[in-house]
Order: sequence, then C-alpha cells, then structure tokens
Amino acid sequence: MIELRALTKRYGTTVAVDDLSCTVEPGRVTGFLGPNGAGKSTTMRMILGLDRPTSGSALVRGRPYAQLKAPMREVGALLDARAVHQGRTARQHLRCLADSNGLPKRRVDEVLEIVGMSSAADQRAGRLSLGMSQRLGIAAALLGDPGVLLLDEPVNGLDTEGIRWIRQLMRRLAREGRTVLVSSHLMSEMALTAGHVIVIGRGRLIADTGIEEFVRLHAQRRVLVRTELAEKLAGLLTGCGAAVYHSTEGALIVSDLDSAAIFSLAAAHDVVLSELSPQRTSLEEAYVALTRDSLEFHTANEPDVEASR
Amino acid sequence: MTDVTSRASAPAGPPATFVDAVRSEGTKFRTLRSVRYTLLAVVVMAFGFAVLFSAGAGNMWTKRSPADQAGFDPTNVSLQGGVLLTQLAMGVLGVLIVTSEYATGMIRSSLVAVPRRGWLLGAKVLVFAVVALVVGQIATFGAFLLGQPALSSVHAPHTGLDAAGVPGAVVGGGLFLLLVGLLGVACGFLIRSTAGAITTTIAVTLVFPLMLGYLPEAISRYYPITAGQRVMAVMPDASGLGPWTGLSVLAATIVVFLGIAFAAFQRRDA
Repeated sequence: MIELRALTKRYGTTVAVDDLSCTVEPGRVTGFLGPNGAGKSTTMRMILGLDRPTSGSALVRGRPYAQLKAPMREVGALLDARAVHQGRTARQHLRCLADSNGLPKRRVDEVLEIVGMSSAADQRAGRLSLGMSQRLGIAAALLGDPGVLLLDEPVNGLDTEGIRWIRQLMRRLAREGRTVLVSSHLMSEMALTAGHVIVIGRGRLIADTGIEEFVRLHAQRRVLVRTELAEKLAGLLTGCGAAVYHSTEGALIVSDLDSAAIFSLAAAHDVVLSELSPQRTSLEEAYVALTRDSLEFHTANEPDVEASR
Repeated sequence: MTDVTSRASAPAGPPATFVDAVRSEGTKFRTLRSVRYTLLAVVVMAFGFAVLFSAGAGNMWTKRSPADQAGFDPTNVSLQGGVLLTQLAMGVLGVLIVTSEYATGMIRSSLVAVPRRGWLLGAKVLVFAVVALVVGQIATFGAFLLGQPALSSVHAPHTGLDAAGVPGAVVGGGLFLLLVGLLGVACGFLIRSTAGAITTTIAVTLVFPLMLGYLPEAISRYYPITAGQRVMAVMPDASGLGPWTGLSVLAATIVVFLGIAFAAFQRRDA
C-alpha cells in the first residue's frame, strides 16, 4: 500500500506536485495518469525517497521509503530504463542490485528468465535496444519479489508483443495481491490494464476512482440530432443551456442535454426530428477533456467550473 | 480478498545490511573494465615515471653544487617521480566511481536499492579505500624498488628499504595516493559531473601547487597536497612540516571534504 499525504514539491516558484493526497491499494493495477509534465515522475521519485518533498509525506507500507528494512524485497521500481551503467552487462547490473539487498544470485537468472532476456543477459547495457532496456528495468523491479511495484511509463519502447506481455504481467502481479502503480500519459493504455485510476494535472489530484466510474462520470454524453429546422432547434437548445455544434453533414451535435429533453423540447416547438442518437465519447476523449479542463481551471484561476455546469 | 491482503502484508524477508551495500559496491567495482584499466594505468605510470625521474635526477646530480648534493634525497626522487602523474589517475578513478553513476542514471537505481544515503556513500568510500590502499602500496614500493637501480645506474646516490626513514616514506607515499583518490570521491559526490569533478581534482592536486611558489610561505607550507607530499621525504626540511604531520594535514582535510560531500549527498534530490 502507498499513501500520499498532502504531498507537495516546489522547484523555486514552480509547483510540480501540489497538495496530493491519495492511497494506492493492493490487489489491483492503479493507473497513474496525467499529461506530460503533470508531476507523475516527480511523485514517483518522492515515493522512492529520491526527491525530498517540500511538504507532506509519501509512505510505503506505513513508512517513508528510506526507512524500509529490506527495500528491494518490499518495493520494486522502474523509473528510467536507461538508469544503468552502460559498461555492465544486464546480468552484472542485476547482480550489483541483488547484492545490495542480500538477494541470492540465482534470483538474477530467474528474473532474466521471467522478462525473457536470458539470451541478451551477457550483452553490455549500452548495446541493448530500448525494448530490451525496458525489460532489464522490469527485471530489476522484480528482483526482490516485492509486494509493491512502481512502474513509470513501462510500455515505452516496447513492441506490440512486449506491450501485450507487460499488460499481462501487471495484471498477474495485481492478482497475486500486490500493489501496482503504473504511470502513463495514455488513457487508452490504462483502460486495458488498470482497475483504478488516479489522474493528476499540474500536480493536483483531478480524479481518484474506479475505471468504470471514471467513464460514467467524465465521459461526456453527446446526442446527434437531424432535422429540417436545424437553425430553429439550435437556437432553442442553446436557450436551454446546451452546447450545440454543427457537424459537417448538417446534423447537430448536442452536449449537456440528454435525448429525452431534446425530444420534448423539439416536440413542444413543432420541430420534426429525422434522427436522434446518443453518442458515446471514448475514454481517451473524456480524459483529454478532463485534464484540459483542469489546465484551464488553473490558468483562468476561477473557482469550480465543474460544479457550475 | 484474504489472499490479496496476505501478499501485501507478507513479511519482507531479512533486512538489508551495510555489509550488503559494501558487497554491492564491490561487485560494481569489479564489473567495470574502465576501472581495471585505470588501476593498471596507476601502476604502470608509477613504475615508468619513477625510473625516468630517477635516471634524470641522477644525471643532474654530478653537475650540482656540493650543498645541493648533500641535500639529495634518493628516496624522495623516486617516489615523487612515481607519484606525480599517478596521483592524477588515482584522483580520476575516485571521481569516476561516483560521477559515472550520475552520468548514466545508475545513481537512481543505486539509491532505490540502498535508500540510506550514508550507507551508499560509506560503502563506496570503503571499497575504494581498500582497493586504493593496496594499489597505492604496489605503486610506491614498485616506484622505489625500480627507481633506486635507475639512480645507481647513473652513479648517483641511492639507498635501500633497510635505510632509516625509507620504509615510512614508501608506505606514506602509498597512503598519499589513497588520500588523493578519496579527494576525487569527495569531489565526485559534490560536483556530480565528470568533467567538473576531474578539473577540480587536477586543479587541487597539480595546478595550485605550481602556483604556491608565488604565495606566502605559511600558505604553501600548510597547503594540504604539498603538506601531504612531505611524507615521501627522508631528509628533513628545515622550513617544512614533519613527514607524518604533513600527511595528517592532508588526511584531516580529506575527512572534512568527505563530510561536506556527505552532507550535500544527504540533502540533495538525486
């Protein structure tokens, strides 16, 4: 379990992480989402004790990371797959790390097997492809068979086969009861693996919710309407507070008003509809809209735009 | 849900110890080719330059005034020759074992594995010190044992390990190399960039001592590097510090430097 309590990191006047509080529970993959520069990596570095919080705290299994008795047996981390001395082979790199926590040498061979890079084990890290470096980073995270895993953008540089493999691996690790926190800037990626998402924008918490609720809450419902009297209906809808866009094919795209309300409004004003169909926005669109809102919210600095809708 | 919580709260296994951190640093040291080459360079340069310096100084000896001839210190000639460039290689090695981790990003992997920064720094210093102690002794004993025959071959005065003060000077010279290496380690932790730390180490060990002749005598006497080099002299120098007093000045300075490096390492984001 990972607990963030009012975690804040300031670099000069820039606030990278702003009063972030949340809990990452075991037994499921938690997606850690946000646009590039939202503060995901800084948060992960603070959890791992690499960066010192300006205020607040990050606890792993109830303690600050630096106070863990057997760090690698408790937490495995993939921060940057290139964080390896290029002069060492994959096997030597893992052996250096295994020694630091008193892990047996055979565990090095085991994790090399698990990540499928036994054949590249004796190549120098500098010669490994990005995909292989990524696998080496994951092997390092798995060395101590930890109950908590932090993976920063683990699909970066992996090929299709590698991506499918890492998704299965993350789901399996979560099924085994481990805490798995995976950062990504792609909602679509998380939709396939995560059971829970924590979304941040500009270092602030935007959402901390199950993936299903996330869709239900944030995916905007839009309705496509066709009628001969498009101009008249558009005026009526706008009058009721709905947002109306004209599509290229002459239809209206209406948001912020559901199909039933549109139907009764049209009927009351004798507007005959030829089509009325609800449209589902994708998860990715919902996520983009959500994080964009948060950015506007902060730049405009006006209170609670969400609530006034 | 029961087995879910069981894996999450399962005991983590035996705690990691400082000894584990030292073992890991030992593995890091052993598994880099560049480290082995630098150590080889230390020894080869010590031997080679000791012979060259001794032969050169021995040749000049005959042309010297009787007063200068009386002050001729064969032990110091061989050791100074052996140490002059070797100290650079040792300092650079000290720098590299730290800055190569910053340059590659390995430092983050290391700190995730060993989050107690005092342990990581302590383990690095310890492993480096043990290796530098052994290599430093090989360098100065070799420099002396090869330098003396070079002096005798040009009919200059020479001496042996059984002469008074000689073993101390040879052992002390090796310790001097160890301390310069530790200066490199401290600079590495403080400056973090390879180029910056190497430049600083070279400036402190080689460039500043060249400028000391233009400074007040009290400064040049206590400048830690020149003070430390006094340990390699067998003949007493009326104006200088005693051999072991000189080396202690250097040792104390290095301890302070390592302390500052540790404070910075502890405080900074990695």
